[in-house]
Amino acid sequence: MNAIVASHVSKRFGAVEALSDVTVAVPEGTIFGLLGPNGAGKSTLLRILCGLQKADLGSIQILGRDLSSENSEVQHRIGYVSQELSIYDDLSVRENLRFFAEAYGHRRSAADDLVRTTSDALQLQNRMDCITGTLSRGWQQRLALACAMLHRPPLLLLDEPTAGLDPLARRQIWELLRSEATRGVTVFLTTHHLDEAERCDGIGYLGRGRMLLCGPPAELMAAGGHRRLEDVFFAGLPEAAR
Amino acid sequence: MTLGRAALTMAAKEFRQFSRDRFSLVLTVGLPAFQLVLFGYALNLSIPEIPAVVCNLDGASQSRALVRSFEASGMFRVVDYVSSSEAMYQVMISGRAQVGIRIPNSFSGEALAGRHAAVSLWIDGSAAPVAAQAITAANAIAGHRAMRQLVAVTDGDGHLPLEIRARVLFNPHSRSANFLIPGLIGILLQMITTLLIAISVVREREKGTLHQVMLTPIGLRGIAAGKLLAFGAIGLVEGCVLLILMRFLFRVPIHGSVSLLVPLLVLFLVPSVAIGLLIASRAKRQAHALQLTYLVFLPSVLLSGYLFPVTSMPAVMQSVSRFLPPTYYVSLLRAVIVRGAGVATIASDVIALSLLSLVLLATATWRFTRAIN
Repeated sequence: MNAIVASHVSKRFGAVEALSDVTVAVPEGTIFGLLGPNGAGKSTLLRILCGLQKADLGSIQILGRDLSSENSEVQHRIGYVSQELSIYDDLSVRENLRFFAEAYGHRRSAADDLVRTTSDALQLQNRMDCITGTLSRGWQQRLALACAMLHRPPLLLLDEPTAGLDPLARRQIWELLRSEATRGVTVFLTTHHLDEAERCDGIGYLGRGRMLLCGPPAELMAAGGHRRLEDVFFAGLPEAAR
Repeated sequence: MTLGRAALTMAAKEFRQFSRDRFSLVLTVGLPAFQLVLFGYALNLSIPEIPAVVCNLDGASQSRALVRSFEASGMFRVVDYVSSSEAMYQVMISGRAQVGIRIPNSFSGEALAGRHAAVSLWIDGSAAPVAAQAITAANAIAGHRAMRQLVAVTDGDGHLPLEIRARVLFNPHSRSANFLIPGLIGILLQMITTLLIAISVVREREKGTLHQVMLTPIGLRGIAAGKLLAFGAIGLVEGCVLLILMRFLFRVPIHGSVSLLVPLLVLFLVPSVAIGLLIASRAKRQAHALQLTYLVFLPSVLLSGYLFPVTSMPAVMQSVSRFLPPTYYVSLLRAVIVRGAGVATIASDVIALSLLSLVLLATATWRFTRAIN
């Protein structure tokens, strides 16, 4: 079963066509990577998928529910991390986690249990009382992920979750995402890194708001007779779309 | 999740952030402290003795008696005597005197003959309130003297047929603090609560946390309710502290019921936080929120009746003042604190403020939900 089914999605901002006839399907328990240059419409598609923006045209099914008619039910089952990280700088790591646990309806003791298990999973235990604004980008990224995963959502929508991280931190994040996918969680993320795209079960390439390529990396390489994913993009795409 | 629980979860987070935010603490503690000291101790609306320069070209007993009447009134203090109109003008240009009294050389003769005797009064128009008070006081002195002369001529016993015995009620010593501080509390509370909630929402919008919380079961209505609750509660504590300071530090007596002041405070905080939410739904940056708050603050100071009576304003401005919550709250505070008014007396202002609160709250919530969505 597919966790995400977006069909013929279009979105305009005034004269700018941000998305044009985008269709994508992501099976449950897989990691889907969305690539594309800056301004290609990746973040817009992500915001539309989590219901923060409305598409002008097209239909979207998330976790088997229609996004336009069951927006809030869908939203409560999504974990979303934006590029800005969207965590409270002036609260400690523990306070951020506890707030989001309570925001998802957990009572005090249940919230504390969730905070403990999630902080363990993301190795945040030693920084629980640090004020978030004083942490490095890498730790803030982990905290943002922890806040998004706290309520055990079956779908994670992550906007460049490894941007600005050192190689070790990136690797740790990817190990975590893979273990979540193994548990059945679907991960939809945007990235600029081709090596990350190779780790995905499925990838899509957005150029000027259009989905130019979509499929499993191995299939895309085999179809063009390429040995590396990099060649798929450089040989298989028009120059203006790269 | 119920709206109440969503609001409480959100409000608890707001309190935690508020306690760590230096700007909010300075705004909540520093600004009222500064304003209270300024208005409570430094600013005095009652005009002291007006400095006067006298050009007495007559010099005889009648004119000297007139000058003594000016000094004895307690309204004027003669700072200089000059011998020409030009010299009198120069003293007024220098700012040493705000009033010039010019008595012509024919004054005593005319007065003794019972004929019309005129005295010129020059007034410094650059200080409008002083000018108005000087004219009133000078006319009163002249009228009193004229009446005495008239009575002396016709009756001879010197008793005036009519005497006004004024008695100032509620604030017998016309203490400015008693008039200013109750009004200042309303102005400060609106400024602080409106700015705090507007900045808090816009900051979350800039950081992206607003959208993050929107995805949780708290939702947009929970966010709005939590913010209104948190900053309303902060305003309530602030208001109570200001009232205590007013009573015990500035010694402003409360003639009415103290128990009436808390419900009135709560009633006033509703439109204040609603205006903050309304501003937050328009502003995309914190600086923009600050500018919009000042746009509300200035009319509140000038048109609410806090400094100038609403009835003395042009009709258009009076209409504008009816849409400002401080207009009703300042009036209510003065009624209860200074005049000792009870519920029945203030009912019409309470109803008007309640209606305005409901309209502002509904508009703010609707606008906020629409703008963020």
